[in-house]
Amino acid sequence: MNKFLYKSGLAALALAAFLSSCKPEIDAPKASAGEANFERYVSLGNSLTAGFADGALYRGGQEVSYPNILAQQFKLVGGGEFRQPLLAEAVEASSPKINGSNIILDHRLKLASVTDCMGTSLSPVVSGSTTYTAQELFVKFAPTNQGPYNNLGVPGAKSFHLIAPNYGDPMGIFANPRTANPFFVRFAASPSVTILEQAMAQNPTFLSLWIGNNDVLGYATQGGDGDEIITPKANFEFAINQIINAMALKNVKGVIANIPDLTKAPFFTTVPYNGLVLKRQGQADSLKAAYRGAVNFKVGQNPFMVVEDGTVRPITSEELILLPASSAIKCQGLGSRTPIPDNLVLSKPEIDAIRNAVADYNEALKRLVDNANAAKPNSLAFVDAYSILNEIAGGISRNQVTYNTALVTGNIFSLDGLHFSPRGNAIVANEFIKAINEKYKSSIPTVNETNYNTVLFP
Amino acid sequence: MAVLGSVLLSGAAQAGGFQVNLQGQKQIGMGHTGTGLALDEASVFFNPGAMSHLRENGFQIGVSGIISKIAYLEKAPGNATAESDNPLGTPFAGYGVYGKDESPLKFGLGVYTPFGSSVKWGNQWIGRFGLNELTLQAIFIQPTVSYKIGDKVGIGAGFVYSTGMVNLKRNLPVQNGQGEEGSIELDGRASGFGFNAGIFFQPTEKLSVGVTYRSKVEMEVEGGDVTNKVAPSLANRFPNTEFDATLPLPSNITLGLGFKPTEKLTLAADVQRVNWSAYEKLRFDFKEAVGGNNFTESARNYEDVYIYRLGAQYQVTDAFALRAGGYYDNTPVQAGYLTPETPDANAIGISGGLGYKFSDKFQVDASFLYITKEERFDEADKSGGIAGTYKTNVYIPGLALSYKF
Repeated sequence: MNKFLYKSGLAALALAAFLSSCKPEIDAPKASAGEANFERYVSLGNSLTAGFADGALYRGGQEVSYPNILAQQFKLVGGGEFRQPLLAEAVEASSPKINGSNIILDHRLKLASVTDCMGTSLSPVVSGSTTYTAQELFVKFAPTNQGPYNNLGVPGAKSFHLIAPNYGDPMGIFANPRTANPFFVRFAASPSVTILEQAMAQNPTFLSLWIGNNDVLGYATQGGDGDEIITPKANFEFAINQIINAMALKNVKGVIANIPDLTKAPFFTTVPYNGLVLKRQGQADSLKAAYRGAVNFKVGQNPFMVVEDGTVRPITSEELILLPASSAIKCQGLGSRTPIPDNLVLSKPEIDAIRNAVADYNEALKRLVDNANAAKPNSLAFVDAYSILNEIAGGISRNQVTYNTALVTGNIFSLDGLHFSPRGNAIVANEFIKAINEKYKSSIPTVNETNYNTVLFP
Repeated sequence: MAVLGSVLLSGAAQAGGFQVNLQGQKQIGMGHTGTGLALDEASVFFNPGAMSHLRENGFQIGVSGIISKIAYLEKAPGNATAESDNPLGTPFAGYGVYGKDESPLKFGLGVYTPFGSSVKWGNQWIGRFGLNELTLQAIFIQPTVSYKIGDKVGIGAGFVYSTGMVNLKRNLPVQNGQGEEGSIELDGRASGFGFNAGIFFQPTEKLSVGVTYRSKVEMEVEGGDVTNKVAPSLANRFPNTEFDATLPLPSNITLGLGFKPTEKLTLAADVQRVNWSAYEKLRFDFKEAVGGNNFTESARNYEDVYIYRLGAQYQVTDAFALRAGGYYDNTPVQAGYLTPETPDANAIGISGGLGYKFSDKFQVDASFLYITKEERFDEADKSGGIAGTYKTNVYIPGLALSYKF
């Protein structure tokens, strides 16, 4: 009987070993390129395309740019190498500020504990800045890797800059007005080449285009009161048409995204309109007196005081205060006795101008994409970034993480309130992939967005 | 018992919901039937009414080893995969039955693990903000009396004291300066009360019928520990604190039939209704707000289900018995409510077993149960789950020793 037990014991052990190796399996659909070819992918766009984040272009941001994420997924379906004009690790570059013959570049924003009049709290702070001479700049700023570069996203570029000659000419940086962009100068194939020409010279098989934000953003970030104007619809349409025609000429397939409603970005939504909090009636009374009785204040929340077009008045709930106003509001009483200046406020007409421009651009974009597809089926996939951002603004959940357009806690935007976090880029890239899959009957897997960082806390 | 409990872990996502249907080795071999039979000491669990019909006094102790693996595939067009690395579950069942010769009254005690779960996905998978790891354990201690009315009827009832624990870990979607994600762990001991009652009726030598009702047991956790690991600047927002929670273990009603066409062959069929609708939500109340929340709550809205079981035992010789059975287990988890803690689906169980009597007193029973759950896709949009496809396979060998006196 012992023998029986021994034998059956052995058999049971062998069985258990065999069975524990029998894993359940789920078949994943096979990845395929469908009717598109991703061998040579080139991306066109602005700072969003370049991987600009936290107020600066830096290596870590470039590595998680949405085109780089796309290219990584394209590799699963025959995509080739994707080169970005990478910055050296030590270089972090905000939009350049020119001071005589020097150029000042702020480093990226980081979340840090800041002690101010209200005590200690977490705030985005510029982590430093570097001043370069012109000669230094082009040495330090040069890509650390060889081209040709597949990611031609240029921070600050507007639609018509993609077809502008000399936009990469170093001489143009110091011209007044500036005619070149240091972010293109650093990797332009020649001083005169246009961004579009540099793209087409690579004989791309697939191209992504996301341009137009800056055509209205400059106006918006200046509170509608600076030197930046909104690009007229006709100029925008002309530029896009040129690009689509160039693609059609070479039979290049691609994907185009439209323009989100900029006023939904945290840069414009973080400061509440009625954040003027008065604790006592005495405060309300003296503030009323300061405005000579023209405005009534109450204990509790009141709309901030602003100046718009020379008129001092309380802001309305439909208007927006820009993020840079926040520290002065917090500790210098801005918005109370001192009204918030014009250039830090978007009035209703200014917001309308922005939204109308975005609607106009998007109308033109959709029409041009539809026309291209009518002329030749399967020319262009279309990403409705406008609707996607609106949906995110309402709050979405993916894999038990909630996302919205709030600064820091919304997980989508980086600390500058205008550009995406790595997680935001991954979610954007996935939307591009879905649009491409739909158009070209491809099945490119989306990325696991949870592998991309959100805002880092100290 | 506390020592046993810490050594032996119960369950591993093997039955519908987090019920563990492994309460007697003979019965497991027969598709976990037994409500309509007076088979052995496990009647303490299966049907306290049948206990008084047992011919001998005795006790038994049995244990099963749950080897389970769950595969996961992200919702298309995503293709992230994961596989749970569940620890070996070792639910146990021990029963003793005693009555004086010729007395219609019998006393019994059962210590068993009817509910439990142990799922480990780890802290790398795509659903880690939903769940890394969950361990649920409930040990029922059930003193029982059974009374035989005439030759044909038996009634019995037991009081249930349940003791157990819950431990849940998940990542928090906040990252420190090095990019490391935060985490939260909830750990608490739970207890509850209930009862188990049954009627057994044997109209003829060949036929027997039983009905058992096992009440709902509310497992309550008070003052469990909440431990958070987050970036230093967030420590105030995620304090270590305490939590309360209640987890309902649902009531069951089972109707069982026994039939002995020949001296050597026993057939059994059970229909079990599990009142899972008691499990409406999973809620944790925090003493201090964690991440700005005083509680977390996610809907479960389980539905009542039926489990259909068939089993047979063939007495090859006086000493040696062979058993086989199977069951169909409907999932209580409705569409939209699938969670990584219980990625449940309709399941088929197929079992086999054998018993050997070394003497009149000493017997060994062994069983093997294979459970395959349907591959199931769920949007998991109503439960705070993780959308995707899940597929579970489970292998459960088990062994029991019994002694009659």
